Amino acid sequence: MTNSILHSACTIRENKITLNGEAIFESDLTKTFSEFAKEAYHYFDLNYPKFFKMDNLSKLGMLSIEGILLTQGVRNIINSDKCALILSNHSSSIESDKIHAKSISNLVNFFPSPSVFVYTLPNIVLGEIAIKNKMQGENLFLLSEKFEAKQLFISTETLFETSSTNTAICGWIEFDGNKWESLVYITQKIEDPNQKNGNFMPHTIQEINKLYNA
Amino acid sequence: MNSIGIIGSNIISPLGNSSEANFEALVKGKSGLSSFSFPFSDSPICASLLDQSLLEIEFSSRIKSTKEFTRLEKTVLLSIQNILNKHPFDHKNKNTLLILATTKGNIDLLEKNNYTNIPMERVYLSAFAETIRNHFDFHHPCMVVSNACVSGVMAILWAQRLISNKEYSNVIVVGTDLISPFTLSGFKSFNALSPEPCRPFDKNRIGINLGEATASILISNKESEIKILAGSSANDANHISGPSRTAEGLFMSINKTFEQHKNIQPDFISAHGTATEFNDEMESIGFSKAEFQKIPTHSLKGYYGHTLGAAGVLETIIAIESLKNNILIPSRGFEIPGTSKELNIITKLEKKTLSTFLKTSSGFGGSNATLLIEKN
Repeated sequence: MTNSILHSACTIRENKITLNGEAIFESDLTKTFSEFAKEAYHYFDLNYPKFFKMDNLSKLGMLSIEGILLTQGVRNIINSDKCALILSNHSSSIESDKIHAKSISNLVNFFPSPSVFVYTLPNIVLGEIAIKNKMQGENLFLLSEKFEAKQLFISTETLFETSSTNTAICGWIEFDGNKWESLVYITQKIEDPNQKNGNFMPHTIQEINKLYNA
Repeated sequence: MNSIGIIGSNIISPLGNSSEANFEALVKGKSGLSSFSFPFSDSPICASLLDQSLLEIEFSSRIKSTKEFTRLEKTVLLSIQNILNKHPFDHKNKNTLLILATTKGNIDLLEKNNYTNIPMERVYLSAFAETIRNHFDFHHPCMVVSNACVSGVMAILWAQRLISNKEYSNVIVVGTDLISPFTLSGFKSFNALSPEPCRPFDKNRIGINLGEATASILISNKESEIKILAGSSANDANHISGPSRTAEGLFMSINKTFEQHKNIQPDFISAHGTATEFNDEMESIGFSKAEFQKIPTHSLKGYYGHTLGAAGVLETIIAIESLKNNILIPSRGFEIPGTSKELNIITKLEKKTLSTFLKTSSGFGGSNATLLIEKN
């Protein structure tokens, strides 16, 4: 039994951005993530120079949100303290962790940098998304071995039932060396039980898995 | 709304290996903070560190396993085992969930892996969690929460929500982080470390101390003397590392937590109080906006330092012990008011009838989380 719908979804992997099942931006597979991210930044016309100071995990998260924001009406529904952010991954902030660890690996060259260290927390991507899109709702960052639709589903439904949250941006933002991918989707609570689902899919574990495997 | 009770707890810290021993140490005014030398630092660093040999003795006497574990894993296994010994229940059934709250887990493996049989993969939080799950044979994979310094409060909050939504009957929440050059050098690069024991909310505060701890709480749908009434989280949407100058996120979280409990005035506040200039100032603004300036308030960072992912769980447990014993614990290190909005910081140990408290926490990523807890 579900009382919520899946509103829209964006996946980014293999240098391709797919929004609600349609490829909207693609760049050559020979390009590095940094090159791809820069091109995607221009595609979205982001005009947000802070983007280039972020670590790869935050960049991937930012681009994923820009993707779903292209869906009509989304900008209005996320800008509220009733909209939560629930993201997850496997590798936490391992990229920034490794850079920081390297900067302190020997006492002769001991130069830890605050601008790297701040990204050694996985929830910084939540903070970056919150700042850019002025989102002040509930925040949660979860870690799991692999993409766990069930955990995201239970967390979101629980939040809808036990708090004033009525919308959630959920997903998986994973970055570990050459292995990176993201899925971000919006789910919305149906406040009125008589309300029709319209063209939207029901929010279920099966449908979330379909989004991830698409 | 279902009743969500706190059944038991445990703390592994430099001040003791049970919640009771830790509370007793605080009543006596003891602190875990002292000076330590690190090769990378010219001057000593003030921190609250676990005694390694005591940990080994305690671990080998209580945990039966032939496997090798990291230092962090040992504290977690020990803490959970202590809870299960004191409050035995069928923890292997599908109605039980383990939530782990940590910022960095086994991050020391990334610097130097000194273990013989522990693969590097255990630096990944899900692999660390799976090690703990396998030892106790928990039915579900652990829920692993990593929300910077609010991780511990968030984990308790989610335990309350999941039980309230009837997903589970029992949740064990463990908050844990140990200190390694990784975190020390990072905070040092921010110029955030105080060379002396920290002074939360004091005029002369100059920064944080880091501390090691693992703290666990057993939460259940059973009636209990101590109940979690409500909680929430909110984001500042302002800066990834700097506290908000308007305390917007903290104030929003307090408002949401009290939405259904407007008639409750908490008897005291267990604040985050890291002793950095901007954090404590931000909290004073948040508490003043909520009209909580007169409520007795403390920070426990002067006893434990900032224990990162463990802090929210550890500090909630101590506050629960305060409720049970009707004793207000003073805010160690505070002498002269030093925030733009003056707070009622607890300076003396006081016997007082207590029935509710507010726990707050704020951290990197603009996150804030609060809990309201009551004694029957």
